[in-house]
Amino acid sequence: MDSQNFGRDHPAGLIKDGLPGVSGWRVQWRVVDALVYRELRTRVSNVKGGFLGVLIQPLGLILIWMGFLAAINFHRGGSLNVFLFLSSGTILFTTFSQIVVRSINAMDANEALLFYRPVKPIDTVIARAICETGLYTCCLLVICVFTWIFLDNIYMSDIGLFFISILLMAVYGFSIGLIFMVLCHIAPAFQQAAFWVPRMLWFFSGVAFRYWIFPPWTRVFFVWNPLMHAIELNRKSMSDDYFTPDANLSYALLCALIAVTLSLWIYYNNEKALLTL
Amino acid sequence: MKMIKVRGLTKTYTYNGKKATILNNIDFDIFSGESIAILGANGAGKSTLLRILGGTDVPDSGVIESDVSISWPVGLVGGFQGSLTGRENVTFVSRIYSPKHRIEERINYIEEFAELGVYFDRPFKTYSSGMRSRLAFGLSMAFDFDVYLIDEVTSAGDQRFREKSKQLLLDKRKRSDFLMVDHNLWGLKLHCDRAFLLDGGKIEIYDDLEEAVALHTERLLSKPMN
Repeated sequence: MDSQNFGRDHPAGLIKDGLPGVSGWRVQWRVVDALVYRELRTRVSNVKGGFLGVLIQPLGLILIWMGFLAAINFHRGGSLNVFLFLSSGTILFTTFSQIVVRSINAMDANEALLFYRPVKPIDTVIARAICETGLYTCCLLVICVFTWIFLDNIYMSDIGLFFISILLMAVYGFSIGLIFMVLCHIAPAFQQAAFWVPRMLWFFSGVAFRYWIFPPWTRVFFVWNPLMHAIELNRKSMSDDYFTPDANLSYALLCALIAVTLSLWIYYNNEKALLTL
Repeated sequence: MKMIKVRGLTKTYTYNGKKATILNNIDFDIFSGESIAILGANGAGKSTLLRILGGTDVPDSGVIESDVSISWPVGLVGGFQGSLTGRENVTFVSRIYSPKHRIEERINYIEEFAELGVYFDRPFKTYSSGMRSRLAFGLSMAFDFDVYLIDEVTSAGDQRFREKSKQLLLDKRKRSDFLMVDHNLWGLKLHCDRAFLLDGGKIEIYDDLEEAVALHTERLLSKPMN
């Protein structure tokens, strides 16, 4: 017999979820799979052109943004094709910021789904992180193929690093998004500030410029930021000649581990508050 | 055999700095094979109790022991996404509650029960309230649970749909148990064996459903409306 004790000295357990005989991991897999399906179908139903329309929408925004950055010469040279340099920065950072921003709203947008007991607030954030990562990775791959065909040769020097750096951005986005979702639920006044965090991080992530061309004393504003490391590692994966003095995979992985542990700890200790009406 | 055991359950809500105790240290047992009518005036805590037992709300304190699968509130419409079609909406739930090889079977069952025709493949937001009720009720009945939480569902839809729902509920009742909240006392009498009467945060347990309904009606008539 399952038991849940709601006394103050005991953590809230979970009653059976209506899926007897199915393991917890399997239940979560099904829930996330269903939420991803729902998220994608919702997006497809909201734009013209089906899945292609869903892909074109962020791609269009990224191209406009890159056109602007190229026009004001934000790139300042380098061995990597300018198109790829800006795509890498813009798409990886957009993956992160979109996951964070959409996670803040994830629970409110999916609140009614929590009536289906297997669905937990964290699942809505996982599903959104998967959708955004998948969508923007497709965009980056489309741009890589386009560049390869029409503009320049691409020497994908480390395809493993290419996908690891994208995964790192997804993990950062998921972790920060999960923390923000909890904080915004507990203290709704935090919501306005939360939306500004990704905007501020943009300047310290080397999205559209090489941070190390600035005076040495400015470097300290960038090297702490794991987002910068992930973006630089992604660029490095596309060209072996790409010079990046500080990018460190070990540091980026350690930050991801700390971020995900911290976010899960905060979520675990506040899940009851999230589920309380 | 005991299937749900509740001890010391307390639930309060705070609104504008004022604390209201909805359920105050209540105890009860529900046994396998019996269905319970939950009675009480508006705001007595009937739906709150169903939500807590359904795991979608959390009490302040207390212990709940359960060894059964419990449904979501039957007929829930809030979980549907307006821009998705009926088929897509039920596919979402089926993906959670069904193994992969049975998803299609569930969807077909719901499509057949809801009788929406071409509307099954049209956005949910275009449905009339009757169509929404049919889809929501069909979805709830497509999955097998040990206990169904039924909150005011027998009054949904038109006459023909209510008759169809009644038959389906009678059929389900042979294999599952119900926890029912309904202002339609006739529906409660049809499906339930015992009653819990909620009043002032406390619970009164009646083995005689008729007696509970009579007392509930008497109290409702003697008290001013909330």
